[in-house]
Amino acid sequence: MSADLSRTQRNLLVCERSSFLDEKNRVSSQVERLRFNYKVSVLLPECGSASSHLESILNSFSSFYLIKQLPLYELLDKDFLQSAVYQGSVYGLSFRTRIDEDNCVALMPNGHLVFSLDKDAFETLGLEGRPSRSNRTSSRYEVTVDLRDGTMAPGGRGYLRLLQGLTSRLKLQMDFLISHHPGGRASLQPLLSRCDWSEHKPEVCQHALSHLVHPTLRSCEPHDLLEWIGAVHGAVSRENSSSDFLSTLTCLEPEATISRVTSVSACGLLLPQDLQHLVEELRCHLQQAQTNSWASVTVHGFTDSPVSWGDGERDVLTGGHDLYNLLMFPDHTYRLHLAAGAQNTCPP
Amino acid sequence: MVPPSGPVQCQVLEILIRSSDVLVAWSYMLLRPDLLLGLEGVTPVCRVSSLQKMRAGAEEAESSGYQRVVLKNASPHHYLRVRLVLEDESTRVSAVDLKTFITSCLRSLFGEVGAALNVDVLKYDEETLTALLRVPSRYRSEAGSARRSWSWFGFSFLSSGFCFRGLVKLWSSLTLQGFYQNRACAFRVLQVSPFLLALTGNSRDLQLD
Repeated sequence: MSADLSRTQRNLLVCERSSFLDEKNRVSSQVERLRFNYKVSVLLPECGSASSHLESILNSFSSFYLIKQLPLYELLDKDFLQSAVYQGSVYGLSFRTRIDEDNCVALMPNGHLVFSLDKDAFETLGLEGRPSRSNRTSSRYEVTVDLRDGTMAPGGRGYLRLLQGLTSRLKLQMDFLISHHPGGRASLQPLLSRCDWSEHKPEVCQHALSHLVHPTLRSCEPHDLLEWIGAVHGAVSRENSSSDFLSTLTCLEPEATISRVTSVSACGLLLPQDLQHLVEELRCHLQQAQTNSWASVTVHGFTDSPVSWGDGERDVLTGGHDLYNLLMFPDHTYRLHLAAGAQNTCPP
Repeated sequence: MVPPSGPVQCQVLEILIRSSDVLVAWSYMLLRPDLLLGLEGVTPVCRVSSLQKMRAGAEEAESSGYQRVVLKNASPHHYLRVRLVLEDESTRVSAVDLKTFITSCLRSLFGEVGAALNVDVLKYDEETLTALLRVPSRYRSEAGSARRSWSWFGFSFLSSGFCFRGLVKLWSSLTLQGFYQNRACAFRVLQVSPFLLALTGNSRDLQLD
């Protein structure tokens, strides 16, 4: 029993410090690596009129589309492949499917169609795949098909085999979230015209926080920093003492108190390109702010996405949670923290 | 293994500590005993690289170099979002009642040692009976300081008794608790993460109807 209790969920925290002026800073590449983003939360102290500008930026995020009960073979339609998969970047993800219980599908911007299937579905589909690396006892299998590969061109051998699998052997049908950059609805029209779809914009909400006590943001420990930001976003009280019965959470080494902080968040299928634009706008705002100002951006990935950072497999049963936090300062420096499951591959 | 001394220019220094690597562990323990003692199963990986400072003019900020550190299983706490489902939905449960109930769950499964686990109720919604809990990822066993001893090259080392059991004990005790005040109940564990920040967003709550 003692050996089993010592095994808990494994996790990685990648901590980066650098400057945006440094040629080798990896902020842009890291933002691109998390393909399916669910929520972005921004903390901006003493921003004044910039809060309305910030809200307008979030309202300008790309729309996404919900297709109800999409038969997956529709993703192999020639017109859709030509307009959306072969050109630009398409982001598609099964909706209301749980990665540990149901069959999940993701359509990546690089044209990869990723299936996370249970054993029966995998054997029925009849395609080449491999067991899940994250949990070999759960009988999950991953199948990856490169729709941009020559064999997957319409009429090709691989294409016909996949089409036959999805139309006759395993007729997968599920709700699907989809978006496209830069084409948007026009690129997705061949698919949307044949399905029951609805357009959605990311839901934006804003509220103000007053008298926020914060630690030394530049030098505090990574886990303490993430705990503090999580407490702010989660409205968790930090005014406790070590002898309190309910909670002993306190703000470690408080540095200063800010009279007003704006918190803005957006939820939906968020594209990395929109998040890049948000980061750039916040950097511009910080250039005009005081020297002791800062901005925090937190991005959460989809819990049930079959892919994690980059093209990595989702690590669910051993701590599968993908998020990153970018803390920026007026002098172009930043602290970037990325959370991922501890897999055998390189961390993001 | 050579610790960095003086300014490091264009160097990549990688320190890999594995509990099974006796020679590396022994030599590293002389420098960082706090990282090594009692941390079985932890594999901290540090990779530090720094570039020569760039000065691009008086108006531009100085580049402070690029640093990257990868921490594995280093979170001091784990966080859970749980919901208490009661057979009698009209029953009122306060935050203090919930904390007392959680302590009793730990006591019933793991005894007084388990009940001593420091569980914080960070946030509680009395309407939905949903709570945000924090538990230490590792804690010192109250059975004594010498949980385990190792013998390498004739030397004995006593571990401090740290182990990653807090989350497992709490989660298991909540899962196996079936009654609250003699009425059927169940804890639904909605989210678990070593980062409190991760619990502020759950894509499963996305409603698009």
